[in-house]
Amino acid sequence: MDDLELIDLYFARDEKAIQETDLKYGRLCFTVAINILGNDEDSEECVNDTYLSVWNTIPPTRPNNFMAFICKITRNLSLKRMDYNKALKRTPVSYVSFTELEDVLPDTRISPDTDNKEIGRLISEFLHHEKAEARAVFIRKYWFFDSISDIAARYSFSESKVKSMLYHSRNKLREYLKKEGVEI
Amino acid sequence: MRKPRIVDAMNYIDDDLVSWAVEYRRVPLPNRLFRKPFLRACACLCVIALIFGFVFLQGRDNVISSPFVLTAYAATEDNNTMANVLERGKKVPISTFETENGLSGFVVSCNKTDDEMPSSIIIIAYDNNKHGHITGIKGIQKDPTQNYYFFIPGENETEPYTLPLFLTDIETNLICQYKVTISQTNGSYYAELVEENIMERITNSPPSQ
Repeated sequence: MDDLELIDLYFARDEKAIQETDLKYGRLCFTVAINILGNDEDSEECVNDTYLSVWNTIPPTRPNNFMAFICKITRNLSLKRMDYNKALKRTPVSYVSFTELEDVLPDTRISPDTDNKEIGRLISEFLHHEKAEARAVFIRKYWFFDSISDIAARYSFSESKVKSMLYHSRNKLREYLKKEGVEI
Repeated sequence: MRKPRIVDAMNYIDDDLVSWAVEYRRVPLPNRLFRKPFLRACACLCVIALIFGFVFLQGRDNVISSPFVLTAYAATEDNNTMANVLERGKKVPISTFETENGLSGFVVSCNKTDDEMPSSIIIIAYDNNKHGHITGIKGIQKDPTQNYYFFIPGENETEPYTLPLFLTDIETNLICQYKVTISQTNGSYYAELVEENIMERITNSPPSQ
């Protein structure tokens, strides 16, 4: 079933929409969640919360890109869950990626006037100018929080190559943001 | 550890980038190399050149060059004699000559492969009564490096006349088969080498004792 038919099912308030979404994107959503949470049980819950959120959002929202839409909801819910878990002193694997990203844009004390949406737009612009391989590796690492070994296996790179690509991309992004007025 | 701000900002990147990253597969090296049309064209040309080169080299090994050169003789208007080398697909002038004993025919010669043997004139005629022995041809000075073939077409034979020649070169162990046709155009005769086959001579080696 294609995404347009899937969205139509949500608009028709047909519960089959959830089943079809799970069939098509359940695995992807679970990957996003488990990369952030590192826990099967929490990830399952996040995926189920994602379906509920999608059910409540469509309608009236009609997403142009359903795959990105559902992944973003899963990512947001997983990050919120991670904050909650952090309060319970649990340590998720994605903290490794966070450490690396701290150098790029640490917290809201940096450029407080620029909102996250604007920074997101600048990152998109930056990524569009990157080479396809570097772009894919960056997104897989810092959006999906895939491990270095998973990325290396996915794109047939060595782990050191992936690390090197990420290092250069981070530095370039930092320079790019600085140039665009997001001072670090 | 605090969550860096960029983690939240990343959630606002274009939807297309996210879905692209899900579906992106790295193209294998050969496909990446040949993505550009001119590189594809170059690769095709290289392959074609390799194939042709291979076929040419293979073929060249099997080609045996002919040890004989055929020459056709024609009388010119100023009563001289012109000798023209016969080549495949090329028509050269030829004319009739007479012998001392009154025979008339076309003359073709070929180089001798055995220098110790004397130069000879061989009559090739379809009519048995035209056979005989001739020592010279009027208008042609005998060249000691050539063997001559005096071709007398049959009376009932129609043009183009066909002159078959089988020549053997013992030194290189080759048998050469030639076919020369003679036809008339605008009142003049022209000879053309239409067939040339070179084969290795099969010899029975004496039984070893």
